[in-house]
Amino acid sequence: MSSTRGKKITKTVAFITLTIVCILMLLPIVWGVFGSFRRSGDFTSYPASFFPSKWDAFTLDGYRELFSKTEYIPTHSNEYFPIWNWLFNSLIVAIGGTLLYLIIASFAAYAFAFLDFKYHDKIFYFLIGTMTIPGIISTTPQLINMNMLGAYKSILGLILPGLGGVYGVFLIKQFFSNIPKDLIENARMDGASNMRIFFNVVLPLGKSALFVQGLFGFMGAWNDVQWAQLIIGNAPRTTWTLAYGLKVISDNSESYEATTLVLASAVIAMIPILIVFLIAQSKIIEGVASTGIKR
Amino acid sequence: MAKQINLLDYANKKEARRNTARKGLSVATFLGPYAICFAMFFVFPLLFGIVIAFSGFDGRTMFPTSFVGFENFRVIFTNKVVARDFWNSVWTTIKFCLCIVPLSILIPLGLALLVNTKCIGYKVFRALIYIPSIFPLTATGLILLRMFGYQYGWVNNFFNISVDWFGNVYATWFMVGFFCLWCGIGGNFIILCAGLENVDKTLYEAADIDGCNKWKKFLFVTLPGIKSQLFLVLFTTFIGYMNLYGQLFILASDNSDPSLRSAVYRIQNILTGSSRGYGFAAAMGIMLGLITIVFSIIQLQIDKERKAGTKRKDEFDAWQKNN
Amino acid sequence: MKKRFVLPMLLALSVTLLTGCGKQNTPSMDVEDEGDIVRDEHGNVIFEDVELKLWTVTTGDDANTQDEIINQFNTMYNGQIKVTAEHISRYDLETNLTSTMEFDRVNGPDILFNHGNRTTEYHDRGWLYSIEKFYQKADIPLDKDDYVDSLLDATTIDGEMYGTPIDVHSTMMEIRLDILEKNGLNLPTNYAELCALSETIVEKARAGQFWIRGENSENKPATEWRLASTAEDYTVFPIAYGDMWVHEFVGYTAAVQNGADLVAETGLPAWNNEGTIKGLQLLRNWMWPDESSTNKYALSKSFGSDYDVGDAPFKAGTCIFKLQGPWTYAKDRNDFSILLSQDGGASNITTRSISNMFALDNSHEMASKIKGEGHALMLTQCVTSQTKACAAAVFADFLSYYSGITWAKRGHIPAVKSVALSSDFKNDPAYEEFIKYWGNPDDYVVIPPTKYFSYIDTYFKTCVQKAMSASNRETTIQQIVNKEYEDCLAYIDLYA
Repeated sequence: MSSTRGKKITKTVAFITLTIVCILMLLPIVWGVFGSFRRSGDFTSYPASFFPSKWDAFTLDGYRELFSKTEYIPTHSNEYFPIWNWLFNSLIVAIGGTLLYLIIASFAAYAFAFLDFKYHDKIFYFLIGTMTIPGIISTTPQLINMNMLGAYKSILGLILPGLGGVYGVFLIKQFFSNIPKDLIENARMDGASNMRIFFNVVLPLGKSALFVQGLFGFMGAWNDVQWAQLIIGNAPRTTWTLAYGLKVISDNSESYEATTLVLASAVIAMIPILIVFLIAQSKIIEGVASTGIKR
Repeated sequence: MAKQINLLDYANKKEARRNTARKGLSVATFLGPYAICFAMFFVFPLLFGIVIAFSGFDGRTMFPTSFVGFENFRVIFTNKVVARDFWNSVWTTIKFCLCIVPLSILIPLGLALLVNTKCIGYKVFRALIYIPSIFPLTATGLILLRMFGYQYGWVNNFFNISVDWFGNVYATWFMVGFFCLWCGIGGNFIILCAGLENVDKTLYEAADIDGCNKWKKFLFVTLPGIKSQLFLVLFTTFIGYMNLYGQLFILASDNSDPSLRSAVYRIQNILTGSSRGYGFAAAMGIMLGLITIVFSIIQLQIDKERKAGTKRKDEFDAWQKNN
Repeated sequence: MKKRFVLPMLLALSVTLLTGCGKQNTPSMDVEDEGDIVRDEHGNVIFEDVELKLWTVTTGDDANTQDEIINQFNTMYNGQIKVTAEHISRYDLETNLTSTMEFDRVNGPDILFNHGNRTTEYHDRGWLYSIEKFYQKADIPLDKDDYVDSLLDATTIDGEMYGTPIDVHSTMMEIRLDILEKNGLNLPTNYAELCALSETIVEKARAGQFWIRGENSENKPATEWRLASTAEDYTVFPIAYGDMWVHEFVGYTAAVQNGADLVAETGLPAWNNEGTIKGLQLLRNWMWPDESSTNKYALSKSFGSDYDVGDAPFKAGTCIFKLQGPWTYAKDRNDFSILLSQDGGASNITTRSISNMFALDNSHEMASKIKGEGHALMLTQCVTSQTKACAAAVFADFLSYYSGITWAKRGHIPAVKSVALSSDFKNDPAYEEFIKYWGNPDDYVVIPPTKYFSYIDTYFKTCVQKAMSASNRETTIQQIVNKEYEDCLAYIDLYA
């Protein structure tokens, strides 16, 4: 039938276009990854070469330098880069903060989607409205706020501000709204308490929303440099997060010679989140597919 | 004249009160934690930020030292350099938004449609397209800076061209736009993919039976089916780009051309200096927020109109009356 | 129901906030009395296990050298004073200082090693004590005449010294002596000679008679002489506005060497003058010569926003001069000793200061001045004990007088004149090799003290960038300078 052939053509066209697009998207990253293994002189001598131009331009020096400085030597306090501490801190903030927020936000989203309380839609619109306000107004006051709560220079100061975020509640509520109301009604009529409905009906069906927000939250916490600098920039080096620590390393290496080191640090910043993403995305796809909600 | 106590009424009222109590407890448990966090970590700094907009600073400390009413606002509207710099940057930001928001939605939409054809390896493509956006901006920006370097960058040397990607103003805006799209479309892409998955397949079959061609199917089945995702994406993307900062800072902070500054960039600049400028920065932030809110309300209205507008109903009524 | 308890809580928080503020930032030491100082029978201050926390702006190799110097001090004063250093890059130092001085003075640094030009601003924000007072209390002799005038001025406020100048540094140039020798040319000593040299070389190169050697992509050994290409004009001295050396030092130097004033008595900017316009015009003509410029041919290609533009051409022999930081000289010598090891190695290059290299009129009294940046040691108001403050003065004295030659090897000229003239200093082999070429400290000027430093600096640098950028060639230098100057004044007015 012509429509099957039409479908095949469509799929082939899609395949080719997608391949081209993906190559373009990944080009800079691949260049960066190869560049992190390339002797820095190679950049200036053979700049048109995408990969290290010859075998001996290949070097692990960038990484060696990065990891060589995880020991504290009093006379070289400048070069103390406790990368493993940074990794650990980043993981705690990203995972812990995200989990905490997921719990709080999904509870709130449930309330907005299924609990019919006074003004619930007006409050929700209010929340959406607050999203339009540039976050930058709150940066300095937030710093003072954290200081008052004693969270200055501590990991807590990295986790707490995110807990007031609106985007997650918005996102999860949109997904929850897609769950058919009759399921909820039935459960209510069966005498289930709200808690029970939440855990047994809504959560399983709205799983994909949680995974999506979980991923977004993890990413936000992992990649943040600006807020990290304000809150833990003055704390001892062991308290830093990976993103901030790597920025300090690259600030220390300004010349062209340090291209390799800088690219190596960029790659180190990218690996963990890539791993998390690859794990999470299969779960997300599962979740989205299993929802298959009919409108 | 004793009040007639109707037993049923009494029981009902008591039940109602208990229900309200129980409901109140439910709401408090579910909404409570978030409400507290929201109040402490969002509302409070925001209100304080507004207080700052009405305060004066002496440069010695981060705390306000005087109350100046609308003086800060007067300055950002009338002071020659401040007004010029700020409002130029606002206009630049709006122009940039208008260019990049459509691209930020259409490109992911196109890609999502392609992926939705479920061609070979579509799952891999889906992951690959999303990947650039998961990395910290500082890392990807760093790679772009080196790759598009004027003298030794790969792009200039491989293609034998000589474009100062970060010196020439137009080239820099192009790079900023490219950076935003490269690392930004991932999010919208995923959401639109999810939306496309959820469009009822039977509607497509119905359209086929009706003899619709591909374009009609797209217009009348697909687009309406992902309306709420489209709206979510439009709304958040717009707000995101009105607050453009990171990408611009990483790529263009060395270039002193004044047209390479967004509104948030100007504000952040002030905040990193002496605290004397905090009042102006806060006032600027509020103005920017108001402008964004106006645009957002317009978007909300359009969406509401499409969802629950009475246009169709009125037309139907009119048609019925005439028949 | 949510709204009902939110509002009172907010009000309560605001009240506690606004009443809680203002208390933490008052100075905690009364410098007039003796405080906790204990003296021995000769009247000298007794130091017993005094710990000083230092925040310093040095990073990388500079930081390692500084750590060595600090170690020397700690060994010398073992049991008495101990200094521990935290190195913070200049991008982060301001932000970190601001939040610490605001929220966390208890854990803040006792002493700061930062650029001297920050002194006035920090004092304005209420962060510093006068370190001179503690020289007096600790009976440390302070000979103000021994310090380079310009450097001491920068850290003196109302006649009192708030920061001890330690050093000054600027950019310097490196020169390919071998290429000059091979082609029978002399080393230029000023701008006019540089232009003449460029003319000679370009014409020689066009005629296919100019010899160069260095790294190349034709797989020839670096020591082998080859002819410079006739395809494009030879540029002797690459510069770009994206280069830190240019926008931090050369821009200012060009203005100063042509007689420009930078800051007025009042602290307001004064760079809106002939000298600046001449200097920036010179820089613009560097890449685009015209009928009125001293150079007939371009001294550099237009590199725009790129930086370190001299490094690769210098190694390849496609230029003769390059700008670099003095601390890189040792590394470059090393590189050349490998690159040209078959023929002279490191002796093929030499270094000079940029004195006179940007002066249109070589007889001008300012023609030899170099704009530099100096470091100073400051005492912060985080210090609560007068004994500590005296220890800080001891350390400052040590740094300025006893770290001379070690620190100079990293390119930092001592701020104390007698150190630069001392035999220790002059007899060190490094002095003969390169330090002496970097001029004497008197040639260095820094920006005079002003609390408007950030504005002056930012707007001047914008002038330099615009003057040297290809997209602004239509605008005259006068227009550029006037506009930036007026903007600068307007902003200062706002924040005054």
